[in-house]
Amino acid sequence: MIAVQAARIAVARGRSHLLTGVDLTVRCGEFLALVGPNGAGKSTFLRTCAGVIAPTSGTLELFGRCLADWPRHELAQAIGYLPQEPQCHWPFTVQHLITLGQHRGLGHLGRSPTIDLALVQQMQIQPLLHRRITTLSGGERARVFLTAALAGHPRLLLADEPAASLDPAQQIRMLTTIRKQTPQVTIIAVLHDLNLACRFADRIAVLVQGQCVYIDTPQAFQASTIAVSAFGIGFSSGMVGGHQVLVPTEIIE
Amino acid sequence: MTTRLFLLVLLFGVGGGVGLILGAKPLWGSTLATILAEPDSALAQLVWSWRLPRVITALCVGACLGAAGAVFQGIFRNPLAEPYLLGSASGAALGAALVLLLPAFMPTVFALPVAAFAGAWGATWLVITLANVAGVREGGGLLLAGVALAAVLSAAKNLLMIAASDESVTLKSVLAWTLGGIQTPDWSAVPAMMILTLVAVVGCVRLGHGLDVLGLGDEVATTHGIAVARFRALAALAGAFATALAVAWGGVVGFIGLMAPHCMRWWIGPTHRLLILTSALAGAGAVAAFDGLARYVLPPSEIPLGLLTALVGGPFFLFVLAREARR
Repeated sequence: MIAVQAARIAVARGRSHLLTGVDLTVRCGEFLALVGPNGAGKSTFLRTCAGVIAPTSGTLELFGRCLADWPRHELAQAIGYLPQEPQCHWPFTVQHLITLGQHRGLGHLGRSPTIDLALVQQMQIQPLLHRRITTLSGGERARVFLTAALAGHPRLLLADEPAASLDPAQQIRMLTTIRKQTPQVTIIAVLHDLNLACRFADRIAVLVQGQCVYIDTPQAFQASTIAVSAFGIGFSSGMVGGHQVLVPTEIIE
Repeated sequence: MTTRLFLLVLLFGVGGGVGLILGAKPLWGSTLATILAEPDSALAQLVWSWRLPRVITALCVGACLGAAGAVFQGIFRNPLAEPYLLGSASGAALGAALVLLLPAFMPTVFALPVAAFAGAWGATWLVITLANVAGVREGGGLLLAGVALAAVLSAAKNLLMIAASDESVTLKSVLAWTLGGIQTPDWSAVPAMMILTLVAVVGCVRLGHGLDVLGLGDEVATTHGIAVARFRALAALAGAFATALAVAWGGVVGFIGLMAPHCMRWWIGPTHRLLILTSALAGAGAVAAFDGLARYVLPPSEIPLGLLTALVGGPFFLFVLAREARR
């Protein structure tokens, strides 16, 4: 089954064209990494999938249904969205934040006050439940917001650079946790670190100037020269500790 | 948490009690004993027909201001937002002044609350639009827009007063509104007043979940299934309604809508459902106590309530501002 089917998706804001025609198919239960240079439209594509911005042209289907045909509350239940820098303007407790995530798209009557303990255990945030968001460290914060996005069992998780601004151990921990959600949850994640993308994703899609120029498995991605042409920089590759790694070298003018 | 809520209800009662006891003639010691002993005495009648309805009005005004302040802070994600500083209260006062000064055009009983509501809603809508156009939905810019608008609306109202007043009574009542002062209603008006307050507070509390989600940012709120622009307009409508009620009964009383939610966020927590409810309770107790103080300090004259709350609220605002700046 197909989770996301994008056909010639274009998004323009004013005179700037953020997406110029993205064709992309995401299968149910896979982990797709979106990579590409800054300003290529990765975040815009993610926001479009989340229903935050409407495409100016093209068609976008989620689980076989056109995005515009989704009732607002059903879409809210189906999608977990984790923005690049999650905000929380008020010093809520961790428990309340997760409860809000759990109540996505539910009316007054559907909101159960009990928290999804299995998820909390899996995320290892039990000791944090009664802390205020403002008192958490960066790594704890990232895990809590991921839990909030996954609460309520969405079918699709859209994560915008979930590993940015985390230390190496937290990055691996975060992506391992996200990876564990498949195949129940389909995942599209914007990743800047190509090695993380190759290690955790099932497939890698490359966006350049508002278009999807490449989509294939990590092995094929590493074997190809697409990274060089997309980023304009040379890469050396090799095996380190059982992982194929790419190391950027010289900028190609 | 339960203890704190109990304490809060107790404080609400204490506020009402202070409002009842303080006044041009404070009711303590033997006076209180006399009233309790002889419910038919002239003094007891005076308390029953004058002071008690006034205290109930003060409680209603405070509850509306507290709830409106909490809602406005939630809408604008800004702990400094409140009806007075956003210009909503001035808008309500302008609307009400129009009705008071031009009674020939409309009957006061119905027109007063409606005009106050229209003014409050119009001013709030204008501030939201101005802030949107200028791209300052959050932070200080919004408050600057609100303060500027409040100044314009107050000036318009004062101009109107000078131009249109010929009976000194009408002018005096408009002036009392400008500086804030609780009115003493007839007992027959009290049930309607209490019901309207209840409607306003419950309406605001029901917005709590949406305001919580709004605190996560517009984008995330959208993915939570909230139509952000529509919800914001609806919440502003509820806030304006509560503000209009408060202004219609107590004039422009500043800073209660700022202080009550702020203290409650710190004491009870930031979850909006509980915050709005407790802010209403705290605001009610505070206004009743302040109103008692306003009558007690300089008998037989009465200090305008708005002056008293500004004396306390102004420094409080500066304190919050300094704390926000440090964040």
